[in-house]
Amino acid sequence: MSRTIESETVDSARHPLGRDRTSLEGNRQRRVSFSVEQRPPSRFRYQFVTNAVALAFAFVLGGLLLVAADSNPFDVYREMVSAAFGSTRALRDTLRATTPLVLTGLAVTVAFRMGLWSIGAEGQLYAGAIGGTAAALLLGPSLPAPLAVGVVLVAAATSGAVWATAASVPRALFGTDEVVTTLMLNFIALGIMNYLIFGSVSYWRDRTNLGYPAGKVIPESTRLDLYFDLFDAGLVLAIGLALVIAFVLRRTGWGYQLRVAGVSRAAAVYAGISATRQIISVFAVSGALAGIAGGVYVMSVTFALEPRAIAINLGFTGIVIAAVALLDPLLVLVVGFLMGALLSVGPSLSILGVSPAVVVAIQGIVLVSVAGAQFFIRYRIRITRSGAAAS
Amino acid sequence: MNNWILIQSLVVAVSAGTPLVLAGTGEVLTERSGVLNLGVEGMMLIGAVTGFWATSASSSPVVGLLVGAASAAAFSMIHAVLAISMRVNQIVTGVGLVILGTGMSSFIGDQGDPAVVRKLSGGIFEPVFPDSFHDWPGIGPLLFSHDPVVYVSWGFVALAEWYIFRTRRGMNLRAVGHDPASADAAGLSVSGIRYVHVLVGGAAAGAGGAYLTLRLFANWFDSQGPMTAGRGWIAVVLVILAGWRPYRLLLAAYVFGVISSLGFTLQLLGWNVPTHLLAILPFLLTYLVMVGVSATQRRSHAPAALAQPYFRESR
Repeated sequence: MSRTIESETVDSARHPLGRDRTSLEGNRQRRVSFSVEQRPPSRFRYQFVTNAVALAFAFVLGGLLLVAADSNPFDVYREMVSAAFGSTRALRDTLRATTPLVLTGLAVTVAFRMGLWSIGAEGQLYAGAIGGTAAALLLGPSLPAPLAVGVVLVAAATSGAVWATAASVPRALFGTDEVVTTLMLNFIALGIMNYLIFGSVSYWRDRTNLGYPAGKVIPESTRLDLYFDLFDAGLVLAIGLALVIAFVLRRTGWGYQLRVAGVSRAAAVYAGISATRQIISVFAVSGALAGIAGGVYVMSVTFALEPRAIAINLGFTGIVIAAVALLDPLLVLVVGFLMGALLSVGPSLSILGVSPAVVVAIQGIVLVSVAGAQFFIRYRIRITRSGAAAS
Repeated sequence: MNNWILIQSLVVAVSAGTPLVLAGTGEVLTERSGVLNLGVEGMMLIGAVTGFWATSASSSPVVGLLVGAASAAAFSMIHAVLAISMRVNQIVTGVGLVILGTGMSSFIGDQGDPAVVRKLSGGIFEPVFPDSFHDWPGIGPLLFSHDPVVYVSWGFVALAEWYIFRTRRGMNLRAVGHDPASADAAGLSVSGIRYVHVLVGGAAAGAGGAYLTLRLFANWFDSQGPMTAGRGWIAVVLVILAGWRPYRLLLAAYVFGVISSLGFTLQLLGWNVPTHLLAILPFLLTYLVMVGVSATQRRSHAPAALAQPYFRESR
């Protein structure tokens, strides 16, 4: 199966102009020409199979990578599955890694659905972590647990949303490229977070610790890891938000307008949808989701503003998840879980003498492969034999 | 004395800016053809690790640079096939290239015995001109204290500027990036031209990455995250900031380098400044300039068909 895709790729790469032209010039020889044409909206089963083949293809390529590095891919994959799901502890690690990835995946999904190419989930996540930690340190000790958790989440969501306006307002008013602004804002947010812990004796820093700079630990009332044995309470929130986003996109006017703008900006303008308000509101929702991811990560994993532990590309991985999930909020849950599994097994691979980096490589191969599969869902390649009569 | 510090900081900025100049100029060529390749960070990492490996094996930094450029060009082929022939969203494949490049480079770096990471490089690029040239007042250090790659990057910028605006092929390139349907009707191979310029962009990014391992850091490492540390992303941003003009990109890269090394310079001058806040400065300024430019500029200088796949059937 993988072989078919590969050869089609190469053929379509060559086709578009050269061959058409030779056939126009009336070649005597028998020629096979390829043309790419749009497929009528394909059935669910075809889409499912195509994407499944792409996933399988990605793991075959990953296997080849392992073979090239003198490892047995079957052993490695078996170890991966057992390290991700094989024991209660393994499953707990996987589920813990899933929570922030689902949230950033949703953040990216909302923005990309409208055709806003925000790369900013990473920075919005830092903003959420900073704002959420501040609220936890300030109000956490004096509030009962459910209220404290709620306050911290609202603070994290607000911080992420506010940070997103630094990209959305210039985009809405002046058309400033959001790829650039969100990228710069990521670096700025990271710099601020580093400054708060490493560069200054800020409110977030643990002043009693005179050794290596560390963040002040949040009070127990704001922790999310204490409620369930197998997963943190943030996962419940993430699943709930995925359902809410799926509903909002499908069943509300706001979601409908967002999808219209994503398919055709011209159609949205023609329908009288205000681009300015839409851009700002979509960015705010996306930023809030990424901000919640940051807050939840502090509340269930780091328990303090720890830049080194927080800046691990969670927002960036959200882009991968959203793209592999084909911008479907419910699929984000599935893909987020699988990516969480993939990323949590990295360290255990070194026992087999395999570089843990292979999981990032496989992640990239999966993304590229699933992205490529969309070509086969939207188009088909028609092979025609031309010039046969002339010979 | 202050003068000396100023000049030294400019010299440092030129060296630090060279990977950006190489990768950015390559990206200008790619984007001029209408293809947005956000994967510069990934291509640089591939160039960095393969260049380092090749230099360790051959003891020649020139071989390393060439191997780095060639492997990154091969790597950029993934983006070319997906974005040009398979019409996949270019933002998604670009990000895919970054993730793949990060994972692959780190994976390659862990291979071998000893691992590539721990190999000592076979030799790095050294300054071209004899030391006596450096002592010329003022321009001496600025013009004559560099390694060959810096001069190559200047030549590359000049060549790219000339090629894009002064040659017929360059005109074809701009036509394909601006209005592929008309270019197609005029008999140009839209896909062919786009493929070539994606590969050139990949090679340039690979050379920029190899410069990191073969000169700037003289080593390959990735324990604290990717060693490019966002340089690939900055190159993409500088392309937009420079309005898709190679010579402006050169200036932008060096200005970025000067601002980035400001904390270091100010410390040399005896000022006590919060370095963590100064680290934000280049990004903050870039952000403000981008917003300011888009607020005042009437029309964008971007290639009109940038990031839009072209196919004949959908006329």
